[in-house]
Amino acid sequence: MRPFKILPLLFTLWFTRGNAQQNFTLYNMGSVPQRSWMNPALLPECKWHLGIPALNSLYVHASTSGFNFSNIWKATEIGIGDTSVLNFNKLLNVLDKKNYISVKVEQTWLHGGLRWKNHYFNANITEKGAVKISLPKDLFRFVIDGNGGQNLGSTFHFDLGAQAIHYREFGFGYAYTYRDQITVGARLKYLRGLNVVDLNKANLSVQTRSGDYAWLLSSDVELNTASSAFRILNTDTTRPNDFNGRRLYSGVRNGGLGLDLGATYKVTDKLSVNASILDIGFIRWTQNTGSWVSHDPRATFVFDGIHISSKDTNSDFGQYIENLADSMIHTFRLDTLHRKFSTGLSTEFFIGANYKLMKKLELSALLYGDFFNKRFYPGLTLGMRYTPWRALSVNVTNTMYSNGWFNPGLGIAVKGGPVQFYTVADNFLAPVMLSRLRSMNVRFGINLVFGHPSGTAPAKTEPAETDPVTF
Amino acid sequence: MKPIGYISLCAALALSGCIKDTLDKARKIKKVKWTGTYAAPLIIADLDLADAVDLVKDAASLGIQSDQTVYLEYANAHVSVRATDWVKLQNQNGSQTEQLSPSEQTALLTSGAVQVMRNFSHSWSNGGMELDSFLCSAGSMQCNFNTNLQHDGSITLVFNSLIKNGAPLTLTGNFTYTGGLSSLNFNRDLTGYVFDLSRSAPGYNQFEASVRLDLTKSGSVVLPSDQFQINVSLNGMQYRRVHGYFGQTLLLNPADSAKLSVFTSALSKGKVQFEDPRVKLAFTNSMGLPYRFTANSIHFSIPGVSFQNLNAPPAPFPGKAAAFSALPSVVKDSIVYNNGNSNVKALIANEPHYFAYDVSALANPLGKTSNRNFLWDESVLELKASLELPFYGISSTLVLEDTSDFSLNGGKEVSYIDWIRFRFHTENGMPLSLGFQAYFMDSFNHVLDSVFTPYRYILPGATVDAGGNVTAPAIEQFDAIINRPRIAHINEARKLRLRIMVPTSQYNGSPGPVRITRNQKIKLKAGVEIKLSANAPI
Repeated sequence: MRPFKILPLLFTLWFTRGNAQQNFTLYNMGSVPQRSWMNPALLPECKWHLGIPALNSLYVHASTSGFNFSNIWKATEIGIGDTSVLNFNKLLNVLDKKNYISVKVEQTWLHGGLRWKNHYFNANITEKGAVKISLPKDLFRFVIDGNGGQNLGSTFHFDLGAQAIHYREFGFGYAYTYRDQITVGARLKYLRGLNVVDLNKANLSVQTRSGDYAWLLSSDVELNTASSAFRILNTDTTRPNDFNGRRLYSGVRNGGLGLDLGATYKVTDKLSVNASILDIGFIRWTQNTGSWVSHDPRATFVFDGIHISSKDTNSDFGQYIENLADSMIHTFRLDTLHRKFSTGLSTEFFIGANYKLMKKLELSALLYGDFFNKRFYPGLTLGMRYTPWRALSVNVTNTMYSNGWFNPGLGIAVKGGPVQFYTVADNFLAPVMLSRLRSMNVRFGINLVFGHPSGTAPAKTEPAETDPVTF
Repeated sequence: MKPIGYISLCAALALSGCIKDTLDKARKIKKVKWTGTYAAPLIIADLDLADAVDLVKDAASLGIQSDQTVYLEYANAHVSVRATDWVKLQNQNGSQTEQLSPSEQTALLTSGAVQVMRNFSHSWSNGGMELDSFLCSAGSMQCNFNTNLQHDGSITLVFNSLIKNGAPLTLTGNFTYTGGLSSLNFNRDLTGYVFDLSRSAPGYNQFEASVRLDLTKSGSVVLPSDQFQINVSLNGMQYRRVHGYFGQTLLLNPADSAKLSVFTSALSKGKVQFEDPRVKLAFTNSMGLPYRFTANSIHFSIPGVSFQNLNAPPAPFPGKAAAFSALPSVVKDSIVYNNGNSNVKALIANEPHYFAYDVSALANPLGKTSNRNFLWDESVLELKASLELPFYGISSTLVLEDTSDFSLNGGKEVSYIDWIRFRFHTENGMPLSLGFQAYFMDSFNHVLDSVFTPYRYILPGATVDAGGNVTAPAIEQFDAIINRPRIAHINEARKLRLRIMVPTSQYNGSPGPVRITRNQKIKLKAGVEIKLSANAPI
């Protein structure tokens, strides 16, 4: 089968799960230069490369940690005959304490790199956008199980989290190989924040007293917003809120810095190990900022019923409810601030090992970890990379991640002349395995790759012997 | 087909099976099942007797005795007469014509000038009332002088009956003969003037002025027919204070009745025994005159059943006059018919529906005496007749009951309710228990179910001592649960009978009068918990 015959398949949506960058399969796609974004010490299998502007890497990701069909089956019971009954209460058992929904889009405008002797330089300009929403299990428990019965006296924590962020990354990477055995690399990233809505904190809680069913409410909220183009939260009526789209492309405010570090070590000719840590950094938002912050983060409100007193002179129930609402709003009132604030990047790390089993076949193991909403999410990927021809590279992986042990990944890179097309997905069976459908992602792009690091053209039917392959 | 083609085909078939399996599982789900239990606070009430008797007090109001005992008061609107409606100042018109005496004519002809002195007087007419004086708060005076004397001159009018700031009202003017009548007109605002109408006999209703006419001969002749005339008109007068004698007048003669809703509620059954009821006639008088109050009739009735007079009505009651001072003052009197001087307790024990009275008040009952009357413009004589029922008594079998049509119309949604639990916390500081029951009945009045099974008091009464005084509040916490079968009964019910029982607390198991005071409170806290469940097809 010629490589171009499988091109239509490569346009299929690939699905995977998770909430971070999720490039388990790309990490070991040696022929794809973009893998250096996972580890700055991973070198491309070419002398220089240039991504087709705006088409060299498009990444789309959507995921949820909560329901999938498989979980729904766990909440069903045997019904009459061949039917089944869906038990809503059992659905709670499959929810995590915190459940997230995540959508990401990344578009790389420019990307290029050059290997010269032991040095590798590369740069990229990438537009990144992400929306993350974290929903607590208690929210669903409150709605489905209710606050009565066995839940009397227990506290429901509605710790909501949400962030929508849009920024531009200007990355400059450098790697150095020492004695063809150790490679260290770093990428410094200047970040230009464009828009953000960050529900940094929404710690709401409700407790129902068992004695009298009174509700004890508390709230601690912090919402930060900023934009280069306009003021998202504008309570200042004296300042017009004009949209200025040009600021999305110019200016230096809302700046930030990010750093990726990586290293590889060639233990033997067949075995190598590598590690990286990515996205250490932050964005400092200074332009058109607006925040809502709880006036009293420790404020509590007790609703113990509609108060009826002999001293009451107002018998208007509607007015009473209005006053009650006003009292609650006053207790939990939010201050509007226009202040600078920072948002951190989602730091993640990789630790891997590669073993070259045969000339065309390489095995890999990759340990992954990321933090989101104060939780650590580890993952382990086992992979096999097959390179039947220099023009084709196939990487098959399986990732154990977020309580799922079967997440097969597939990456394919084909090359015709200097034109390389690649596509990668970490859970490519998800579209047809609906029961496991929790998320989707796909990355694809077109690069122009030239030359060989050694300076000599390798045989067309096999990978270059001098290629570090796994790095 | 090459191997990779076979692999792709097999994989496609296997994967399409995964999709089919998922869809099949989804299609098999025919029902959903769900259970949730929800709790919410309902009310937290802090009530006193005013709230407790709201249901029955109707037109009554609550009062507090000096010993803090609360009483229920039935009274109609106060009956009163205002001074300004009774004694009104009438407009006055006085006129007096004078001629020159012969000596005055001679003096004018011989010396060319003469001074003529006269007194102007007007006898005040005010509906037979005797006015000694009054302070005028509004009114005006028009005064006209005219003469046919063919000479020049001036006139000075000094109204000694009109004093302001210690000085009498004085009018002066010059006139010049130009042929025909000479005339002068004066207009004055009388506000702030004190009318002294007692300067001459008989000591009241006398309005006076002195007249001085200075004439200068003009060369014309002096005729016997020469005269001059003074006309005085007083209009729109009102007083701030008036003194005099205003006559022996019937000031008030009201006859009215009040419905005693505490006994007339169609909902109530059983008896309430008030230990110290009283009929009270209260007077408020700010008039400076004596009066005599007469109770012509006070009685209680149940229309068509009974009519009973309050016995031993008192002799006519002499009401006190307000004392005179720089500002209006009030004197209060009252007549009380209680268990000690009348049969009112026995009459109230019959639970009458109406309380009625016919009384009168006569001003100056002894006629004209040396003590003169006075009134301020705001003076009033007011009567308030009321029945006061202090909450000191016994209620042993008092039941409020009503039956009405009822339909929950819950429909299918009611079937989702497993049970409803009402949780009560009560702290009753009153020596009254409150029992409540709701009976759900079918259209043939057969009882299907009730809220409290077994029956219980929502508010047990506070503990009392032998004197009926509260010694400790009653504190309770309990649940009332309505489960699914009972909910079904309620859903089927077509009539609802509500029953409220309000017995008083007992001391050592024996009924006795208890006392309800203003500081006694009922604290009630209620919440609801409801369990819902569904097992429904989709």
